[in-house]
Amino acid sequence: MEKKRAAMMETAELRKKRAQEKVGVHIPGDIISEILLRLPARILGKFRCVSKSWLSITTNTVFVRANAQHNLITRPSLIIGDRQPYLASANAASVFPIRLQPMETMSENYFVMASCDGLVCARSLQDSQHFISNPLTGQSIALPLDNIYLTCKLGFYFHRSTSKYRLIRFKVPMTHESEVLVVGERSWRSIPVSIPAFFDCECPLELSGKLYWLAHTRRKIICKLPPDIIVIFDEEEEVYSAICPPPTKKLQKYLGGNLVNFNGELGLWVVGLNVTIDLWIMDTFWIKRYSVNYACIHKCPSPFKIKARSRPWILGGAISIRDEELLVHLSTIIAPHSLARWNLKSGACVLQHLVYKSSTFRSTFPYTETLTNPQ
Amino acid sequence: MAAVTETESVDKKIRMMNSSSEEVAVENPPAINHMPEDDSASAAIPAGNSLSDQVMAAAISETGETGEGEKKNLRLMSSDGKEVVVEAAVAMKSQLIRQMIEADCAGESDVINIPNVTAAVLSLIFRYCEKHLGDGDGDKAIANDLKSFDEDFISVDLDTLYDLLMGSNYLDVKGLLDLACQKVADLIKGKSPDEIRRIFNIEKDFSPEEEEEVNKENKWAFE
Repeated sequence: MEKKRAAMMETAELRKKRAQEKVGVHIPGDIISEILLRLPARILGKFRCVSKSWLSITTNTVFVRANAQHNLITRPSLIIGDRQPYLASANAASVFPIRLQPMETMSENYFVMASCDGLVCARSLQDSQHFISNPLTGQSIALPLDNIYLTCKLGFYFHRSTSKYRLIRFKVPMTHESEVLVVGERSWRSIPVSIPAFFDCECPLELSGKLYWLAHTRRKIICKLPPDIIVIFDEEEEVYSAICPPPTKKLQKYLGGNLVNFNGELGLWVVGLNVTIDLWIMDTFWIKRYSVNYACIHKCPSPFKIKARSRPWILGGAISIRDEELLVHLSTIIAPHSLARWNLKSGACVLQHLVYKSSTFRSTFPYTETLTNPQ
Repeated sequence: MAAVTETESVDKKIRMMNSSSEEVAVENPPAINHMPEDDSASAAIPAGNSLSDQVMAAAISETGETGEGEKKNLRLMSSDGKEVVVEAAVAMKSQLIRQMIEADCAGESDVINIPNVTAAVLSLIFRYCEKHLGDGDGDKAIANDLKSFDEDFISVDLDTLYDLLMGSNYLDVKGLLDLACQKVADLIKGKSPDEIRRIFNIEKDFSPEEEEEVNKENKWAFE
């Protein structure tokens, strides 16, 4: 029996060797990783069955994160965090509802609170269950239950030194307390906040190991504080700091603008004075690098008949695409919800009207399909 | 060993000079410095082994250095035994060669061994490097004409694409490696797993049941 088995194994080995000798092309694993890195997540899911080595490459956490980062830049989309969240892709012609739900709940309506690397953190409106899910793969994880979420702003990031996803939350108006949760663990850990208080803030931006919020301080000028500050949370050191935004006229709440990742640098887009939208880039100092005239929006064809020369009421979502373009989710009187793709150099703007039922103000979050596992 | 050169007239000059080993009358040093655009030129040159050839090759490259003043040449020995002469600035786009030079592994007239890459592929790679000399370190091709050059450059058959992939990985030319990887990714995007296995010569090591199980776990990809 042993001899027979040994003989069988031997012929199998010989066969394998012979098969390999025919091979002219053998690409090493690290180059395969580089190639697979550039593919969209859905296709990688189909390719997992090619071989055991390909399965192990595409499930490796370092690879998955690198693939997510690559796709966030090359195939960006925005999730519009409405009651029924919508996905607006930079390349697709239309917007369509996105299914967030994890397997456990059957609810239909969600309030999206944060997103990171293709994972979405949301609250189910039916049963107030909070969870993090990957809308593409359907994997999800429930977050510890409590009531604090309702009055909080959230930040969602990947903590590099421990390779885990984390959430940070603080109440608004700021109470000098904040908490951090490692996704998968059960309790939040308190972290003191030592920066000036603010009464509200926009959706955060995650960039190079730090979280940035554009925060609005009280309207009355107290202690010579500027009306707005940029709050920074260092993910590794777990300390807060603050810097001043650029010297624009007024960053009014809901009407101003927000921070954006512009090709790896900290940027701020803001509605300027003379019918323009300005993009400031932080490079030791704030520099106004681009200014686009948004009157061009009125020239874009619109299915709506109203014509009015109003300033765009820009909802809190913009992401940058490479090659000097900006993708902005905005709302004007002529178009309650639009996606504008702005070429900052030429000033050309392609507007895509999103027709869906809600007209309430909601946040937008950068998103792309990824393989990231929330657990 | 014959240096890889571009024009036929220079070829003639080399052959004429064979008889007199000391006399060197090179009229166009830049012609020798540039990499051939047409790979067939390199095939036309016979690979000789005579001593006079070696001396002459050394003499040419030396004059190339002094003739041009600032431009320096590097000599590389490919895997198929051909010597490739290239401008130092172009060759330094390869981080491997740059590190060897900076670490002083190769002296001024030494030949650098590149045992994994053939001369034809080397010259292709250096053609890319020369075109991209103006990029910063690790910068992407921003200008439109560089983009169209890249597109044309990488539109080659699979064998050449494979050679470029392996060559740029070995020599560590990041821009070309990115370009080649992206091209391969675009090629395989729409293929089925069977076709992928055929292209990459990967042996199927999942049993049919195991394959079905993997696909079941990833059924979201097929929706």
